[in-house]
Amino acid sequence: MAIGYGVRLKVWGDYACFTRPEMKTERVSYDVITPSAARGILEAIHWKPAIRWKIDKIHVLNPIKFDNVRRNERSGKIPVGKVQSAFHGKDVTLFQDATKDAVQRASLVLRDVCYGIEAHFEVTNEATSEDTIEKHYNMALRRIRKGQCFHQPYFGCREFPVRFELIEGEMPRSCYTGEKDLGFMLYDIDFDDNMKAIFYRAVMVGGVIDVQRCLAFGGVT
Amino acid sequence: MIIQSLCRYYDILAEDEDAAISRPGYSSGKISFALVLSREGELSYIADLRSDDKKPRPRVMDVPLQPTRTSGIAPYVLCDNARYIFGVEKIKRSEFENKFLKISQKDEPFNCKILAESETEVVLVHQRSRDCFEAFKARQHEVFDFLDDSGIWALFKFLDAWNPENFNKHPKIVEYMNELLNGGNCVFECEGTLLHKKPSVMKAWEQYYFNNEDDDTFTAQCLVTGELDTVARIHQYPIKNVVGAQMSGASLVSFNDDSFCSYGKKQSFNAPVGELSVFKYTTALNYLLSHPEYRMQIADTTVIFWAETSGTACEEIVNFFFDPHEGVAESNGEIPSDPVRKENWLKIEQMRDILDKVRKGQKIHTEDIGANPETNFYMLGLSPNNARLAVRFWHVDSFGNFIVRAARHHLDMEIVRDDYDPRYVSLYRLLKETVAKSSDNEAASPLLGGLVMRSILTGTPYPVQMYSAILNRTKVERSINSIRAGFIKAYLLRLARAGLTNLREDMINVSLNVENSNVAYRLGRLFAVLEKAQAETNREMKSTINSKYFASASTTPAVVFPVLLKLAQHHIAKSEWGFKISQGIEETLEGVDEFPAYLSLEEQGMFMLGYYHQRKAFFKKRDEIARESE
Repeated sequence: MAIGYGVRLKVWGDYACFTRPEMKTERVSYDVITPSAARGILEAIHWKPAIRWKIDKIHVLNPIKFDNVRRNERSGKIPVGKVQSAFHGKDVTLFQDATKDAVQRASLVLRDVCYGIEAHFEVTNEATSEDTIEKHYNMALRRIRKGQCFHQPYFGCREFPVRFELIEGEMPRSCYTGEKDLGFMLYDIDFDDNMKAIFYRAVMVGGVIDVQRCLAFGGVT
Repeated sequence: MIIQSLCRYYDILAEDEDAAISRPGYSSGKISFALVLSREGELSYIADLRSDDKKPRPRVMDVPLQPTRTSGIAPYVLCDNARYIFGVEKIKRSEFENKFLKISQKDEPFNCKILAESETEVVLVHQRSRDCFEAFKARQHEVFDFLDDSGIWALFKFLDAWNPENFNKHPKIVEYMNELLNGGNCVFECEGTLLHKKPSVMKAWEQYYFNNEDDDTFTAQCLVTGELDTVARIHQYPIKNVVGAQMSGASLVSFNDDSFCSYGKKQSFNAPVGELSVFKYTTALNYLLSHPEYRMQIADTTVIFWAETSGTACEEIVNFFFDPHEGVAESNGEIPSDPVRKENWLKIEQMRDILDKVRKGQKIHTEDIGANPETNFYMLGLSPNNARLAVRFWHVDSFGNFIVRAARHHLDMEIVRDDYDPRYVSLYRLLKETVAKSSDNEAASPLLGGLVMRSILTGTPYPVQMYSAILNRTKVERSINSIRAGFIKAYLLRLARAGLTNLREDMINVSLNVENSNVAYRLGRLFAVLEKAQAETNREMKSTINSKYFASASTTPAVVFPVLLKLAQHHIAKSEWGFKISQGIEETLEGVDEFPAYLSLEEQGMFMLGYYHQRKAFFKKRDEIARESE
């Protein structure tokens, strides 16, 4: 498996909610972005079946601040069966009635977040001879510089959009010094193994979470 | 984070002998009676374990784990209510008629036996209560069949011989019949010991509990410990004592709607938490919630706090800082004799010492606060949402920082006040000021409590929502008290400190500052002067300039003040102290070149502050004069 060059991305936004799975109904965010959310941002910018993004380091640039919001949300989902029958051309009403299904949910979200993400990609089995590392690396770079994306990247919830730019020079300094244990955090979902959640112990040293290093120490099964 | 910290606190409590927290496999239950059995399994008498109060309360005891019971039949072990132990139930007559008489009119047989009935209630044995009894009996056998213990044998003999229909024929039961049927729990006693407290019985129960896992166990990485563990399908120990939540308890972690589930996972498999972690965090949370020294109420939010040490010294002092006992009058340096008042007085003194230290910027030491300032301290705000609990805020810091931040809040709130005004204002009182006096039970906005709390705990400016709510109430009610003025002052002070306004910190004072040249402040003072002039000239008036012009004067001075000054000329002409009044007006108007067309939100606060200060200064003068003439 070939490993591509690394990219460094600065991402920031007004709000963010990296929901803790155990507090998902009345949302409570993790303190910092999860590697899977960072991967999602990169995938929104450039992704092909031939590559898979891996997060190396997360720099926490802004202080961690929390805020409360209350939003009207839906309690149900559109059933899969309905979607399937619509897919087969049957005549079904495929929407959720906003007035009937509304519930108010409180969330504890992050404010004014800014992260530096260091990541690289790996080439998967799907790659053909045309999928060279250089090609994908340059595509990603070009797209980031131009601000292009397949869909608007977001911080955990669609209504919290991400702004991004490529870091070409020095990585900006974090406001944190010293070591801070953030406890067990979601690393990612293992989509090959029955959507199993993988957790890792995030430790922030001088504002930097060395994801790969934490993974090696942090009891991944 | 929250769950992790609670698990850690459970471990601390479990080591603490005084804490009395349940061990794995047990939970605390409310027990009303002990059924005393003879060796032969005869019910020899019933011991009442309830308290002697006017309204007897059941005793709290550790009993074999009692998970939440929903609609199904689920007997507990060695401790249950009359329906399960005796197979008898008391229901309301209307319910009885609905349920049983209607069925019996159809072709089904009338399968229940009425033991006693009154006009409103019916005591009966029916199919379901019989099933409950049988299930209870079967469960005791299932757990203890292999145990060779005389007490358990007596229990088996009793249960095997028991016939629910003999309930009201038993002389001992008849004595307590009503109380037993009211749903209180009973435990068993034999040869002078409670069965569930016997070491051999406990061992058998633990063995059963830990070995008897469900067949469909699911193993995954636990998000608390990070280790592979059996994941709890539901977090089935309800969290009780959160004000406003359901009586039977609510859940912190639950997935009761479709939209909460992801990746096709069901219930708590969405958030894998190991069985032991679930037990630990729920037990610790319930322990904190049931002890008043760890909790307080801020609007609709139930707040619990704990330090990572045993003992409750930290919690008590924090409780006092956020909820100072009011009605503790300044006692002129004398120590009150009444022990409760003395304790409060001592705490106020301690608080004053800490505030003084913070004011001077000195470091807080262990002896000041009675605990190590470096200890980790947690604060968790929970608010109810039917069967769920929402986290309003969550704050982690060292204990010393908590105290300093709380002290900073009280220092910022400090303002000139009357003797009967509270010296330190509790958050509850502060939030109450945002609610209209006329509405009896209207609560403060649920968001405000959390926002204000966060400002206090982080030392940042107060939320503007709270500020505008207070300003609005002041304008609408046309009155300002020490709490409102204190908050306005604290808000402006923090804003100035953060550099978010043109106001300077030294312009915002505890009491009247005649040097302050801020236009809004001066206009506020002027309004107080004009009001006084009017009040002194016409003593009995229905509408005063305050009732007519307060709100507009504080927002659009250019429209109002020329009218007011013209009015004042009449008062001056009438009053024998007229020259004094015009002197006062001139004095306060010094440096005001023109009346601004409107005042911003911050300036409105300065206006109110000037008004409040000036009024307090008047009263003070009058008091001083009165004192001198005595």
